[in-house]
This record gives sequence, C-alpha cells and structure tokens, in this order.
Amino acid sequence: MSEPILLLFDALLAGLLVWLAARATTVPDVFEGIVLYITFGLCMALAWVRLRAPDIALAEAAVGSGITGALMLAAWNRMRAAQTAASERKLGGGVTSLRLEPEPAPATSWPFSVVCLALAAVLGWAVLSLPPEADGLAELALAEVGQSGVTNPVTAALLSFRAYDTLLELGVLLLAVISVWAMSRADEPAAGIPRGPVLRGPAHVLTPLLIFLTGYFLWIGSKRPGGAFQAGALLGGAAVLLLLAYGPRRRLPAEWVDRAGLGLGLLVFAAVALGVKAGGARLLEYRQGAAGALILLVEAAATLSIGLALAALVLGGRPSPVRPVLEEVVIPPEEEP
Amino acid sequence: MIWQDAGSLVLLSLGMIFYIAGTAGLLRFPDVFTRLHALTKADNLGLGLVSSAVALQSGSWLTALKLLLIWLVVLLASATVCFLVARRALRDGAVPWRRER
Repeated sequence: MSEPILLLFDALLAGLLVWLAARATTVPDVFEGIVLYITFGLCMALAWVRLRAPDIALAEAAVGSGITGALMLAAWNRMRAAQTAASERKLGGGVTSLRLEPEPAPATSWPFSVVCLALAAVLGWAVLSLPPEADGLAELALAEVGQSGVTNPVTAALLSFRAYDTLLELGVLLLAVISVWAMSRADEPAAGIPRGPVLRGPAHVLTPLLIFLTGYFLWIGSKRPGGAFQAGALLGGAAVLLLLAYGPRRRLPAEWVDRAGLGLGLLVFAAVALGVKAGGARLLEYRQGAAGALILLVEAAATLSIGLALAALVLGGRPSPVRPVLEEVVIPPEEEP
Repeated sequence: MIWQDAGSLVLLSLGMIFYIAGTAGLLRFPDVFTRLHALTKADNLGLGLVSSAVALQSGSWLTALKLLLIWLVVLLASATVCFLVARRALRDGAVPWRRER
C-alpha cells in the first residue's frame, strides 16, 4: 500500500542528494558550502536508513556530518581570523569585509585532468570487469557470524573478519592527529567567540548524556547497530561541546594523558593481535569463547582513542604546553542593536 | 487500535501544519532573527506532535520514552543553537528587521 509513497520519498531523497552535492561543491561562499555539506551528510544518513544499513547511517550522521562539519566550521573560523588579521595588517586597521572571497579559479590543468580521467577509466574498467554473478563475501560472512563472538554482522566484519583493516584505520586516525599536532598549536581560537552561560547550560546536560550514549553504543555494538566508531564520534562530540563551551585553555587534561588516550586504541588492538599470535594462533585470530570479550576490549580502547582523536582534530593543533591560569573569559556586554 | 490510528493521524496532521508554518516562515520572513523565530519554535512543536504520533504507533512504552527523550534533546539543542546563531548574526552586524513606518 505504502510502496508508491516510499518510492516517491526515495526519488525525492536521491534528487536532493545530487542537488546538495552539486551545490556544496560549486557554491562560491565557503560557509554556505559547509552548511550544504552538513545537510548533505544528514540526507545521506537518511538514505542509508532507507537502504537498511543503520550502522552506516549512524556513522554518517555522527562522523560524516557531525564531527566533520564541526571540523570544517573550525577551519573556516581559522581562515576567517587569518584573513581578518591579514587585512588589518594591510589596511592598518579597519576590516573591510569578513566574507571569504574565493580564490580565482585556477586554469584547468590538462595533465592533471588526463590523470584523473585515466584513473576514472581504470576504476570503471575494474568495476565492469567483475564477474556479474558474484555475490561478494556477504553470504560467507553472514554464515560465519556465529563464530565471531558477536551477533551484529557489521561488528563481526569490522573487528573479526577484516580486523586488519580496522587496525590500520586506527593507525591512520592517529597519524592524522600526529600530523596536525606537528603542524600547529591549539591557540585560543579567533577572538569574537564569546562563551557564555547559554552554551554552558546545555553542555552540562548533554555531556553526561553523550558519555552515557557512548557506553550504550559501545556495548550494544556486539548485538545491534553501534560500535566503536559511532561511540567514539559521540565521545568526540561531547569533547567538542565542552571545548566550545569552555574554550581549549580550560580543563584540558595534561598532555601525557591526551597522548596515552590517543594511542591506547592502536596499542590495545596491536597487543591483542600479537597476543593471540603468541598464544599459537595467527595474527588477529581470536580463540573461540574469548572472541567476544577481546572484541569488546579492543572496541572500548578504540572508542576512547577515536573520540579523543576527533576532538583533537577539531581543536586543530597541539595543546599549548604552558598551563595557563584558569580564567573566566569576560563576555563583553551585548550592545544595543 | 482504530483510536490509536485516529490519534496518530490527528497528531501527525497537526505536526505537519506546524512544520509547513515553520518552513513558510523560513522562506518568507525578512531577516535571520525572524526566520530563526519561525523555524525553531514551529519545528520544535511540530517534532513533538510527530513523535507523539509515532509513539502512539509504536505500542511500546520504552520506544515512547526514547522518542520523548529525543524530543527533549532536540528542544534543548535547537533553543541553544537558535540563540547562538542569533548572537553571532548580531555581532556580525545583522540589523534586526523593523516594520517600515
């Protein structure tokens, strides 16, 4: 009965996705592009729900739209501050415009275009040359879920069948944070972000709730949609909320705590991988019976590291080594409009 | 059963009216402050009505409770974000719209 309605909904959603993607990449104003991108992520999450992939929907909403959106907005804020400072230097005071003017479009680079087209052709050929009747590994994976120690097939694939990939993904995330820390310091972000009680109130309510949900998603991940990446994104979201409400200079844990937490996921995962090898099995080959507990252990450590890494990326630099005195940021009185 | 469906239908229709009103406000109102006003208030109420309708259909207290929690969190978040957007706009020099005399 409801099939035509759903088809209409799907068609609208697909059209909207294409339109949002096109707009997000072509709109000249950077801020508008970011907002369109975040909207695109939310619609994409909805599309994953329609495709019955709630795990990916959660990840897309939390990581793809939420945390990445915050990351882009933080970068935009920095760009804006840098531009303001530059124009102040140039003009000796008065800022003329706070709009980010896009760079003039570079002339088309023909060698680069040829490389891209060749890559697209090779990828297309690779897809087309796949045997059409193959079902992939889905059936095999679903048949073997019982052996993995968890009942959620997505978690089984991520942390058991292709745990090697996930191990390397944690490494990539850690590398990203290391690169950011090597490149810049987390200074007080651009002036003109006054903090205040209106953001702190909700932060007080939402932070405990987010941490609770982090634990929930971590625990439920072995049976139903959820897992380390979704839980980590929520934890990272809580950290970003606190950073926004209090600023990076207050209440940050000591740097060695950050470092230990960032590395913990990869360390525990690698230790488990090598530990089972020492026990006579192959790399990452969990023993029957212990698999569920090992996966939960790895996921718990990974959740902490993912959350910290995402928050560190949004913060955009290594925390300052100088421990500043705890100071309230004075909020200038609202001027009358 | 029929009463539950009827209740859902009424709540859903009311919710949609509020969503349409909020969207019309977003599209038609003259400046960022009035648009925020339309969007957050109308949509918050619309979401409450729609989630009540869904809760009636779920037939489980636990699901209804989760929907209530979602609504409360959205209320908190949207009220906060509304204030933050408005304050940022004011600081960036947006002039609140006034009726022309």
